[in-house]
Amino acid sequence: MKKYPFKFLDSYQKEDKSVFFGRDEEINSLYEMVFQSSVVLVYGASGTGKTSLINCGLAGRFQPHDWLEIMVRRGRDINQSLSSALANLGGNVDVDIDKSKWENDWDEEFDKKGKELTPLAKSIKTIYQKSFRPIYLIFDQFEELFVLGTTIEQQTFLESIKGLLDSGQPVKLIFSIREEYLGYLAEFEREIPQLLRKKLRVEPMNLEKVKQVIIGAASFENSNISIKTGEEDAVAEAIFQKIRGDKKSLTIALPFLQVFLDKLYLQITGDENRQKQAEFSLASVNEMGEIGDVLINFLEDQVSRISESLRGKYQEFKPELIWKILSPFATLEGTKDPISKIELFARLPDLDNQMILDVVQAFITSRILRYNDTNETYEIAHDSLAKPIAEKRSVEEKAILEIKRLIKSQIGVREEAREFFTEKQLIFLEPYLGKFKLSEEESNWIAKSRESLKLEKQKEAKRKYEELVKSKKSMFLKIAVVVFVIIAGLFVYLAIKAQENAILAENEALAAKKANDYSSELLRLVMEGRGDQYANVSDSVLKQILYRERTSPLSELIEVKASVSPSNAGGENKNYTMWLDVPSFRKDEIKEVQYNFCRGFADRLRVSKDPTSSFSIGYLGWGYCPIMRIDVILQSGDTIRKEFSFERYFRENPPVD
Amino acid sequence: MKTIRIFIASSSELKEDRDDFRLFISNQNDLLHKKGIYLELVQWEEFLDSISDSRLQDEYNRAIRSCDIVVCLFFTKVGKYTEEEFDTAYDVFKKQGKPKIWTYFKDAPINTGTLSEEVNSLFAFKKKIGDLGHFFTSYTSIDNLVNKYRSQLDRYFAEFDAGEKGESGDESKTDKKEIPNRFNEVLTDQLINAISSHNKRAKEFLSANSDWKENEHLIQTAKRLIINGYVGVIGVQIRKLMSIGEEDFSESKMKRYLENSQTTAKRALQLICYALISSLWDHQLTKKAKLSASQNEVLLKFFRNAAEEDILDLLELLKSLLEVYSGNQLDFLISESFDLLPKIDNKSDFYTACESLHEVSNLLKTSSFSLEDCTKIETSLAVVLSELSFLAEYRMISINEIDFNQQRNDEEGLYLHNYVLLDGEIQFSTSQSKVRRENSPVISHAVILFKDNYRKNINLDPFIIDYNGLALTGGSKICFYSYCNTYDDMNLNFSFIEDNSRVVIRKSDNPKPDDSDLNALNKWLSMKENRKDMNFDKVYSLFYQAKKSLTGIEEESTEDQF
Repeated sequence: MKKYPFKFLDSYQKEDKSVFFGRDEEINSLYEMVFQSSVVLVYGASGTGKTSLINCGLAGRFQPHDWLEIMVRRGRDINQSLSSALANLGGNVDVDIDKSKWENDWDEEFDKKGKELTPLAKSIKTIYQKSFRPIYLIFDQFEELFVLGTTIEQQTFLESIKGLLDSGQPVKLIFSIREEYLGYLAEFEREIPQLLRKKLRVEPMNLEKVKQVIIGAASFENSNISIKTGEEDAVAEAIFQKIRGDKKSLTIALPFLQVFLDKLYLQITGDENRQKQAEFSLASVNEMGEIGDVLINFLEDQVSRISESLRGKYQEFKPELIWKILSPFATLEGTKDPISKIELFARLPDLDNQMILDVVQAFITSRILRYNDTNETYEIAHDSLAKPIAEKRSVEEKAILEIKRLIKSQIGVREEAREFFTEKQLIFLEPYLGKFKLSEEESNWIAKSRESLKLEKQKEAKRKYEELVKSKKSMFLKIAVVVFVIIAGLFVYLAIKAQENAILAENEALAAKKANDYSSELLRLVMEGRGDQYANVSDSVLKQILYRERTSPLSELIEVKASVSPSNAGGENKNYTMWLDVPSFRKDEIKEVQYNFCRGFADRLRVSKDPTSSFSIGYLGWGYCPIMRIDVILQSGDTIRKEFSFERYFRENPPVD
Repeated sequence: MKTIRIFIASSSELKEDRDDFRLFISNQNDLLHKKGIYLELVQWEEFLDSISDSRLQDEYNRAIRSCDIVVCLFFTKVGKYTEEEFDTAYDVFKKQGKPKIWTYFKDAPINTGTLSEEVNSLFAFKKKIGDLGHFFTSYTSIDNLVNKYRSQLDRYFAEFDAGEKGESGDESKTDKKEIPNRFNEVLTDQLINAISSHNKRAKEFLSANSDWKENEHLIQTAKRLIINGYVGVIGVQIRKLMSIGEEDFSESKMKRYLENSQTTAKRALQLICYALISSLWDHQLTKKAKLSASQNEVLLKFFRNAAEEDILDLLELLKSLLEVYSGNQLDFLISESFDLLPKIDNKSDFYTACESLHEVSNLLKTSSFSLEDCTKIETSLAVVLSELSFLAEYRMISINEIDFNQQRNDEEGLYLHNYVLLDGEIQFSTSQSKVRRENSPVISHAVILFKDNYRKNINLDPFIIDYNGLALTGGSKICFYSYCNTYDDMNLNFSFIEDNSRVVIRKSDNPKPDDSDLNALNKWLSMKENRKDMNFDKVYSLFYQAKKSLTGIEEESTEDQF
């Protein structure tokens, strides 16, 4: 049976030992290290083949009875993934009957600490005693714990690992991490000093190694690839040159090499089953033309092929939809982010689930996505494909991702040490809150943050208010009240928003109730602040009022208000102030307010654009216009015209001497 | 176009999963037709009701015999028909090696209210197929099932392709073992009893659990007690045998079991021989023992040998050494080994067992071995190790560096001995180097063997070394002396006990500066690389010193050592 030696974007496994080339040196070093420490770290840039080095290279050095590998990827939570990986191998502690009596401990001078094994160590022990094969726990793509995981998750993991290393059970740990994340290990190292003691850097492929790969792949028995005799070195060199292109780097990334070799094969044979024999020659490599970025081209190719094939089933199916479906598979930075089907649906609420599944299926078939059996997630086959996907995102998608991360990072900290969201953050969050699902803890924390901010603001408003009262500048007193109302009003807005969101997500009922209580309380507070007429009104009436204020046309709600007070300097002159009485949460709809004065005034048109003062204007003088025309210009461009009569004002508020 | 017939069996509660699974199979056909494969679903329930019970079995047999794959799905109960379907498929499989059977158990939340007595049928069935050695998997949802099955199918097609080309494939990973696995039954039984008189834990275990053989867990515990009971380096080998024993049946399993049985016996004999040689060397330094010409010959052969001694060579060596000891009335820490002397005689069981272990090489060379050979060799090994069960009273440690710590006004200082305990799971205690406080130093960088008193020990250097200890890398890599390139470059060859790989010790070209130039010496010693060279050079020179002291033969290469 002829064998196709390339793995495309998959990593090499133990079975591929015979077709794994160019890594002998690293395999030897890694093998030696395993006998020098119970913890070994493998690091290197993305696409240097760390996973293959462990799964194929290292595993291949062991006899079957000397190697039991347990691969652990973070999945949704590394601790869960670890215990389910152990459970899958029968490391279920529950069935473990009383064996603790017979542990391998040492009497007299070699007594063990006698500490009880952690659950994790117990399940390792159970697994070991089933097969007596030394266990190698391999944490692949360990950076995910830092990129995607919370602090609690990290700490829990650290504790488990410490327990495991203390247990004396036959287990070794191998961590594989992208080198740019090495710095994250500092805290781990403090707790597990041996973590960084034995480490292997996997170097990117240089020309020499690429030669070994290509020539090796073509020369092993049963390979369906061959190289034209005499051109071996030249072909390998030409391929290396093609892939590195203009960049004068001395190395290339493996996924590029694999995808290129696959493409070359297809160009020669056209056999998608990859069974026909192919002969690589200098001519065939040169025919490949300028290839640019192999991976991006390849991805775009696949996207258009898939959208082509789905157009029959879904009318007007566009490539953009595919990019949108791929988006949740990449993090904000463009690394891969494994995701379950349910989460995927939740991230794409406006798309048909069946269509999403069809797209995912198509990508699995073309090996761009793969399915993780252990935690039932889907993920991109290689990090290098995550970047182009991240770059195709819309502004809104990016914003949602940023918000999710913001929330996650805040919640990730233990509650005692956690900080509330700031006002700025809350305002940033609000518009997107209905667009994805929050956990109960997350929505509670947002509610708590609002609460705390509200108290803070009220305190501040009260302080300012008292200051003003003390200074007895009565003209500003009312403005101060207005300011207070406006500030507090922001919370009515937030609270209502929160309520809406809560109703949107039925299963956040608890949070909704809290928000509800909170908004009723807030209502009363705010309405009391607005004046006596609201003080003794019931919640439900207040809500009705508020409902009217929220929903009625602005023209029905706007009232022009004025106040006149004697000048501080004494004399005939008085302070005149005018402003709009408008529900604070709707002031955003107003662009500006034009006050038209009557003849006799120097500036007949005075404009206020300041929503925080409720668009007020003021002047000091001896006279007033009997009737003023006030034009409220809305953001929408419409104008609401109002009149205000000072004559009537003075009738209702006779001047006091 | 090659047609593969698939039969799906499940109880009625999984109708939905079954339907979805069918859908998946038909979707697969879209992809597979390119490969020239068509998956045909064999539909059943339509005529299940229409055929009479008496004919049912025949119908099943016929249909299943024609299938290539049977997939059984189970949830909270095992339907009567489903179990029959499985049984039929399994019977057919046993006869003709086909169909391939996959069993999936759904693992999903259920309403306990819906559970009935029938759930017992599930447990019984799980146990039953477990006893058959059948491998089963659980699945959580239809997606999970489909994705798991997809990878199984991929593998199946790979094997299928290989099968098409003729049955030449390597040890196929079949999901079944038709042969009951009785590996290590004899070995475990004999050894746990043999070591119980030397090992407290084993003794307690047996007295508390006279029925241990009835209990799967206790059998495993017994195995682990044996692994850790025998002095370290032997435990390492026993661990391998225990592990191989747990595997499903295959050619490779038998081969490795035989290989490792032989190695186990060899390591045990080497250990005793090396301990004897080491001690003899110590004796020689105080009082010269008298060696007969033939005894001298045997020793000389050992030091000169350019190939590793085999089991029979080692027996001869052991015999000579024991005779030297008794002839000269020398004492030896492992005094129990004197009892072996009368047994190194070609009529004893011990000797016959060693012979049969020696013969394994021939079996392996001709690849003509069977399950019977494995049983025979297991019995032989049990005999040999039982005779050597006294080794369970000994311990080995690898001493690394010794730190001296004395503070101001302290009467005397403390010696902190850094060591690694060598037990059957050495590989894993490596990073857990231990420290022991003592009032005096011991020889550092050495592998030592002792009984209860740590101070009364046998230093096995240079015959058993800890390569990693000497290389100052951390961890242990215990290597047994193997042979010497006497007729070539004089390099020494050691064998790493974990994988029998060869480790070469050669004299470095980095000589230690003369003691008279203290500055140069200190500077030289401050470099780790130099200390490493020094350690390995020491192993090299010790070997030749021992050779000279024990055989009187001096090699040129030892001249400039001291």
